Amino acid sequence: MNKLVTYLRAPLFVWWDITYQCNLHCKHCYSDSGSPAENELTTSEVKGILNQLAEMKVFYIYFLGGEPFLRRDFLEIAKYCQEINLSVMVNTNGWFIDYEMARKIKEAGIHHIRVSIDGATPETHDRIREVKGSFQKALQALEVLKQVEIPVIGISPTIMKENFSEASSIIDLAFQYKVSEIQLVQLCSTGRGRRIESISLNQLKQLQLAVAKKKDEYFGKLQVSATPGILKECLSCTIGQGNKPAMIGCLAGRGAVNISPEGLVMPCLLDRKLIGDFRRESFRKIWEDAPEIIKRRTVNGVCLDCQYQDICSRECPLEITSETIKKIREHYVKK
Amino acid sequence: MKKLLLKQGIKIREEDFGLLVFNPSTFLILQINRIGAQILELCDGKRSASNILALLNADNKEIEESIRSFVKIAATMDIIKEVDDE
Repeated sequence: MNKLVTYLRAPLFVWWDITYQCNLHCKHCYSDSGSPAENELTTSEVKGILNQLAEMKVFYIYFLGGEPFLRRDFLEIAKYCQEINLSVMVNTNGWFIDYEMARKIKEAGIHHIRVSIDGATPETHDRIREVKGSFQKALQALEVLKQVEIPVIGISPTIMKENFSEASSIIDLAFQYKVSEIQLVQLCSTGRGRRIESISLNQLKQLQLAVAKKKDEYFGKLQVSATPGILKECLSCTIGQGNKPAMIGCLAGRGAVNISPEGLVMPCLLDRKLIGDFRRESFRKIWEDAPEIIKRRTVNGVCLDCQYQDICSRECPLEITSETIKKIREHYVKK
Repeated sequence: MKKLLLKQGIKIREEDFGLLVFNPSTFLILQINRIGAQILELCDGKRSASNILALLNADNKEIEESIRSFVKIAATMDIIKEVDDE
């Protein structure tokens, strides 16, 4: 008989691509951003969705894009989140953040900002982002965000073949700029990311060692993390029951979902399977009834014999089928 | 003796297994079970860790250790703080 893994009453957070509009043209952009879609959600539609998420007690919204600050109503949206008790995290290329904008960001209650920096040098970053001067703009954004004292400022480099050798130096840069955290992001093979070469298995192993070393080096001074495709880390802790956590495994469709600029709902940024549409149905209905979400909560096959079957939603379903992961498994099995 | 207090602004959500606790200052989320939930409820600024242990009848070494470790984790994650006795 199939069983369900630990059920959450709502996602912990949502990744929300709030617009496809972007001033840069990054080679690896997972959402293939550039021009806005014709039917992006209106301000009032966005607020309606936010009301539903707040009612279900989602903790925070992670706004991405596109470049969120290109939406004219973005600060209004952020302010609205603050009013209804939703915390806000934003990923930006930093281009539009001067001192005045940083002050407005602070006023809007945005608590956590990650600036994308894909190289330790202007040459690498500007080449990947295909706009000259974007590195300098990103660093300037970090400076003014610090000046207005945004509580959590981070850097998020996407790691690919082209910047792999600079990963440690980017972490050093984060330390040098005195930001709170850096999250290394795996290359998403969607959008323009499909055409980019990801790092090899050997490089992945080197990267994992380098990140571990930097984590030690900057312990207590800079929080160094990476997405699960780079580092497998336990995201939570608990007490009792032999320290068995309440849930482990892939968060997609179980602890988080992705919303597109048009209000479509998908399991995550990487897995673009359509599971719902905010313009047609309520989020509670999507969360409770969408067949794809139920599938991800269902234990079956070999997992039925596992002692963690009730808490684990398994690995990322995309990784299970990816060639790199197959190779990693083969490598460790041989060892 | 210092008392334990749940920090202001911490968001708590009830789940079947216990609670999810979100710290908006750090964006970290802590999953806790029912014992953890009881402890958090008692972190009202009027009780010390020892008072809480006594109230939960932690006469078993393992439970006591578990509670102490939880208090430590919650403090590290900036969810609870120590305040002076009033």
